[in-house]
Amino acid sequence: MASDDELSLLVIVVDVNPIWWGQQAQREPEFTLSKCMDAVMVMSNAHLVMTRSNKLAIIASHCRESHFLYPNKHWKAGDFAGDESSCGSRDGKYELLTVGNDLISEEIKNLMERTEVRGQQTETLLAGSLAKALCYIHRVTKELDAGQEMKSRILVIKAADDSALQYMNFMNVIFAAQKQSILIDACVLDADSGLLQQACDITGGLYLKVPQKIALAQYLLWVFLPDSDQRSQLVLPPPVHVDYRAACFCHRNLIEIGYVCSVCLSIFCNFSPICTTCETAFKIALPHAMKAKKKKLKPTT
Amino acid sequence: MKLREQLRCKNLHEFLKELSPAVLDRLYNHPATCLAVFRELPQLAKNYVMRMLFLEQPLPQAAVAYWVKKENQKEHEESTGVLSGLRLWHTQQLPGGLQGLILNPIFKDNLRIALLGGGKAWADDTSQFGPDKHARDIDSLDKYAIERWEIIHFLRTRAHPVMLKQTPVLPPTITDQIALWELERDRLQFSEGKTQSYGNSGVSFKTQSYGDIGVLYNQFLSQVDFEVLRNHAKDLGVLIWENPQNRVMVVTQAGHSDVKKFWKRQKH
Repeated sequence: MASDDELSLLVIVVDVNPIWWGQQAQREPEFTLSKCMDAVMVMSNAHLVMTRSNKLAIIASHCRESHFLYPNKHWKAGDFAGDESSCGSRDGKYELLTVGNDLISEEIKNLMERTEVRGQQTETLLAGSLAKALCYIHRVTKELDAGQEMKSRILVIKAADDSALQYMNFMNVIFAAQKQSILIDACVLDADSGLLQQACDITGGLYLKVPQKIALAQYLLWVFLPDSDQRSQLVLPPPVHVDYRAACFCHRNLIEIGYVCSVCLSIFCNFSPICTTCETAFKIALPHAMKAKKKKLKPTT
Repeated sequence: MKLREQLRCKNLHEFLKELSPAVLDRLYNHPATCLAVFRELPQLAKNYVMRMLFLEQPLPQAAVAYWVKKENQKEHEESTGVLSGLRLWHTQQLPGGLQGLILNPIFKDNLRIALLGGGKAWADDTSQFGPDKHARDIDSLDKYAIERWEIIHFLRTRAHPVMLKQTPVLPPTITDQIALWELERDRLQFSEGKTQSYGNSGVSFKTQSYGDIGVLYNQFLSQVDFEVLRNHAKDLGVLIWENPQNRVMVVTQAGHSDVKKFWKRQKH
């Protein structure tokens, strides 16, 4: 029966922005990064328990790097039996989960200790983490046995605010995921994220802003644990109204009306004679009255 | 009682449903059992269990009915039926008169342990034993496996990615042929045996006895002799193998005495 099951790969991307979490620890001491990781581990354990063939990966998204918490290079399937320091389960926990959880805890501790936050780099590198997740999914897909199928999805646990600078990369990642039929789910802890709303809408994933952070584990199990087959049968939070305004290429502000380059379709909030992306020179016929004012603009062919 | 992995969902459930609640509760006292039973549930039922795993209060039955979409009512009933039949959840009266549902506490506790930890270990503590004296590391195991099954395995692992997309991976003709060759080789085991020459003018051959496989007849001087003996052995049903070109044949140990008698009669 196991070989008939379709494989399901879940990649969890956790926003571990140290600045946001540091502030959070002071705002709400009962919900810290440790508690968040506990909830993530409950969710990931539940995913592995649901079906034997389920696969998992966890990426920590920091402001300096994106790091795989699980699986990582130090872990190989057969190795833990011989290692004295971590002899597998000493209690009733399923051994695979014990080993996995210990590794994740170790890795996140090391990550937070060794990375320093410098100067302006305060924003979570979410687009980069998503790109890494896509690459991992791609690699696992290639390594499948002949005839096996796999459905993948990415769950993003978002803490800090959106980064306007990552807009382009983010949109590219979203479209790549859509092409590969990879769902992007979003579980937002603080402020709503327009980018993730678009991601969920475009790829067919679920978006949820958690009302109570302390109950994060329960929300994860109720909403994000079922895979896409099961989701078609369950009643789940409805899609939110998505803000589809694009960001201008010059300032990254969201605009409703703007100028579009007819060659490369880049969007600008203000008129400029040359497109900064493709360097086309624009010729625009201005009304007679304006021509006198804008002496500096030279009409070019 | 053994829970074999090959048991399909229906059989396991049929079996478990027949057990009394007391026995089931004893069964569910082990995290390993809870895990196994959980994995055999229909998908929807698995989700229901996960949702209720961390609740301490019963949920109104009506609320659970709202979890599923209207068009999937059938799956809902199938799952609730399975969960009730296996006594994984109980009905309980809520304050206010409504019917509520709550997970079997023994099952709930032990599944939580399997998921999160606590409780007793599944097997004896093996850390006392020290390193496994007969430990085989992965490489030597690989080599051993490969030697037994070398050629087919070799081809399979090095198959071109395009071939990998076909099922079966290797053309069946090749696999079959190699398997046959392997079996042929296995059939002839060389062990110490006696050599006997049966000679007389005009009729002679040699026999060699190989362990308990059989007796090899070879070096027939004429085709006719070979055929006579071969036909006789075939009639008796003791002919294992023959090679007419080389005039060689193999007869079972038991049949050998009969064939010998026959030949002796023929001599005269």
